[in-house]
Amino acid sequence: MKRLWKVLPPCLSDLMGFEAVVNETEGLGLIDDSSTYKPLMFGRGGHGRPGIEDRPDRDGHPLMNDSSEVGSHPWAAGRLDRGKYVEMTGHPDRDERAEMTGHPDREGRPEMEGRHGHGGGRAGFGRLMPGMRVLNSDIRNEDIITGTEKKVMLAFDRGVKQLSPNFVLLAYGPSASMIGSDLEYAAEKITEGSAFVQRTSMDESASFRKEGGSTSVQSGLPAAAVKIDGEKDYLYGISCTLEAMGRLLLTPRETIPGSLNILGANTIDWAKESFADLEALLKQEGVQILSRWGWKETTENLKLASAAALNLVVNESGLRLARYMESEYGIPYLAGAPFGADFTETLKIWLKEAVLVADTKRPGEKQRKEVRLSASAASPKEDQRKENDVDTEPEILIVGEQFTANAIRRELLRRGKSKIRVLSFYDMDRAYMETGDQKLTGEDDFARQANAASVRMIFADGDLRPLVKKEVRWVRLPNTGSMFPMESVEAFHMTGSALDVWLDREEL
Amino acid sequence: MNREKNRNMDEGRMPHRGGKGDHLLEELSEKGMLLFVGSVNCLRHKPYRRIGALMREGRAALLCPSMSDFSSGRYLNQIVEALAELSREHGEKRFVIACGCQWVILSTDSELLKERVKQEYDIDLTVFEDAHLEFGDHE
Repeated sequence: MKRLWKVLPPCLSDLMGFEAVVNETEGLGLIDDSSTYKPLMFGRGGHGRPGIEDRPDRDGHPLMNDSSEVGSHPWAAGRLDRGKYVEMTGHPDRDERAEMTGHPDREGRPEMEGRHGHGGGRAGFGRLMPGMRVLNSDIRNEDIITGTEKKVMLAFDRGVKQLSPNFVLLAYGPSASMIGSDLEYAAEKITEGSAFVQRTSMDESASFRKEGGSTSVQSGLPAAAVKIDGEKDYLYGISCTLEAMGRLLLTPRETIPGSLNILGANTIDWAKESFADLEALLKQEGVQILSRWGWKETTENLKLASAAALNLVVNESGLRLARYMESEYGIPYLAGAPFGADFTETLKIWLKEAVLVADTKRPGEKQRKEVRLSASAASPKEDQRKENDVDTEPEILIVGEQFTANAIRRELLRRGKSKIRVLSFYDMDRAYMETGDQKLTGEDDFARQANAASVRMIFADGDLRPLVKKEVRWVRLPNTGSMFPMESVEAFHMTGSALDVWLDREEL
Repeated sequence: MNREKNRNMDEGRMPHRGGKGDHLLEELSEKGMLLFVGSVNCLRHKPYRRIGALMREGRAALLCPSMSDFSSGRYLNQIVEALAELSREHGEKRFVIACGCQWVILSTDSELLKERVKQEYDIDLTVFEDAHLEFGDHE
């Protein structure tokens, strides 16, 4: 039955995708919802599975928090990966965190220290947990009748005081979505900077005094509503959030030749090593990286993005933003996960061509369309594609994030395999689908495909295995998008030749 | 305090803040197979963190209707269909529904639903209203 899940644990929701993006920025996220949002890896270590910091890495070394590898910001350690989890469990750089928030608690400790203990503890009403830049409006039954706007503004006020953000994104919780909360109006009022003072009632003032507040914030901050409500998957949430950020922060700029933005590398799907290698690879090619959308980034760099000569979309969740930037600022894009040595070499050639063609343009001028290499260029070679497109039953299924799955297929085709289909429970883009690829609508859909007589190998989340009632070779893929995985596989390094190494190890 | 929580549980209500936490799901599933009805987002709460394990044991399932399913009332039929399918597959006649805030906002008539599944499929249904709107987070 559609929408009924009997085996596969739930995936992270679109609001969690929103959280994953906002937590890596200098913005503030507000979700009009009744209950708290916690760091995404919060529950993953302590629920009957070894904690992330307890597990060794691929080489057998314990995982450590090393902020020095990522970014140049003092708070770069707060990424949503194992580093972040370690930070939460009591190893943050306290001085840096204090500098970031500037709000000591009653005992004089910085507001956002990892003092909530290992794998548990409440942040308390309106108090953010370590690494979090997303607050909920804490709505209750009565707000369903009277509207949630006042609670949203109160949450905004608290968020501004704690985080000093330089932009604000709002999203709907399921209940707020059901009653049609008007977050676009709330965003307008936040931007105007006069919203709360005009609408504050006596009882709200009293609640402010109780919380230690005195006056409301006159913001004038750029703000926008993201139309997600907790119903869809995290990739959809990341995609919508990145687009909303682009619409909010970008303005026309003079193109900087030889520059690009990385779109969609998000902290749920991408391993830290993969991203570091991608950056190194681009720098080697003499490309200037202006901004990283989905990864840790400053607002200043994000605003620079409209000056890029090219966008590099490395995950399906970056496509929505890439298309917006193409239509609005004429920035062409290359799309495909840079996994596999063969494809990486091709990517280098495309990069050179694309950056050369994407010459200086005047502000607002659309760029020439012929530099758009996206869909066709990121697909397999034509002869391989023909072989794979033969209208026969598939032998190999790859189930996962579309760009990662496409990269694995590309490499398998190069190694002589064929009849490969990519399937996904998450958002899929038609432009990057081959014949037979399918967005799965439920477990039944997957079971039907996986149990077909022709299928002999499946690359997928191990938690799907109970649905397959026949002998197949199973290659486990990372399932970092799963909320409570039973067989957890963290995102691993695939950039460049790392994918080949992994496939070699799997003897494929 | 514990007596009050237990009474809440027996009367088909979720405990208040500081409630059953870790053991809630197990306790619910002892009353029958658990069917969660709501958005995937609602499963982020602590009591649901063992949901994957229960699913693997065949003691829980998720029904995630869309917003239009809820607003059109289609979710009521989906629940009945889901219960019938699970009952057929697992040979189970006792079910517990834990639900998200939509259930409360729509003032779902749990009693009517219980009667319907009893009459049509001989299923005994218990409903726990997981109302974060009323209780906030339950740790």
